[in-house]
Amino acid sequence: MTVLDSVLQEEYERSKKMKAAMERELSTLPSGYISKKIINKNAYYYLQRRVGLKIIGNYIPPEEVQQIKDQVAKRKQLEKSIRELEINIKKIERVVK
Amino acid sequence: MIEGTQYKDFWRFINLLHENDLLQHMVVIGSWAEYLYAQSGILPGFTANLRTLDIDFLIKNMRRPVKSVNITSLAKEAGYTIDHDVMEGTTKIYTQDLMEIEFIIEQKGKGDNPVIKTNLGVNVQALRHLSSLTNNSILIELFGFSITVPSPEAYVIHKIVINKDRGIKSEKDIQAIISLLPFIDKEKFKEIFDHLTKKEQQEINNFMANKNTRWDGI
Repeated sequence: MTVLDSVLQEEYERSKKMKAAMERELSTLPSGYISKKIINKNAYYYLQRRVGLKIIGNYIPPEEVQQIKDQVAKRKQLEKSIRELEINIKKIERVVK
Repeated sequence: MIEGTQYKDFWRFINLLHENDLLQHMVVIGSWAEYLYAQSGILPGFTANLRTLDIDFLIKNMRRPVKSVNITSLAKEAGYTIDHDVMEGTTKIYTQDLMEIEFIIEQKGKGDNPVIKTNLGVNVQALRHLSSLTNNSILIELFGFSITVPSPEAYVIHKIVINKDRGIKSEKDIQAIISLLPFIDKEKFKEIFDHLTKKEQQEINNFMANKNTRWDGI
């Protein structure tokens, strides 16, 4: 086995494990985005997400806004990482074939 | 495969350990130690050719720090993904730029690579042949951090001793050994060699014979 083969195999296994872990974490995070509405000069926050053809908005209590913001940001970052991992996995599969 | 963002990832995690007074309890091992040798200039002329996306830390003492700290909680708060490997029982930390951070510890006593719970809140695999790394470590001052790494001589010795058990990583390790050998101190190498077990010394002699590598003093 060449150095390249061993690096690719190691990277392939690592990517698959990492993807599984990130997908597990993703399933615990809220989907959608946060929208801010000003009503009578007061700010209200909603977690908006698409369900079929409808956009559903759930009110976020002020004390939870930052936490939900962080979780939504984390979700986006994880989705990006997972997309990159999927590309890596496909690339390696193509090379190894 | 290493991109600029992954160097940042490495330093970001080093900073997390530093800010929580945990860096002093770890030794950076694996290919990132080579990166630190090159960056710090302790081996003039040496350039680290091959790095991996794994960052490995050797925990110096499972009972330190005395007051336990949970690295996984700190890492999760900082945006890392934590994975408790069901098969191995170990804890792994993933960065958003797809690096894997893992911890190991020296195995003492009987057993077959047991997983050990540490005072750092991570379950780590205990491995043999690590004493040469902990007993021969050096401190590198870089970018405001004090980072412990094995001495280059201990690093090479350890890589040789474990080489036949490294499976798919064996060839990659041989490349690392070959690239480091011209830069290491023969006297220090011999000194560490003399403190190894007979079996470990034999592994080194076999490796050198198999690879047709001459090294004065062994």
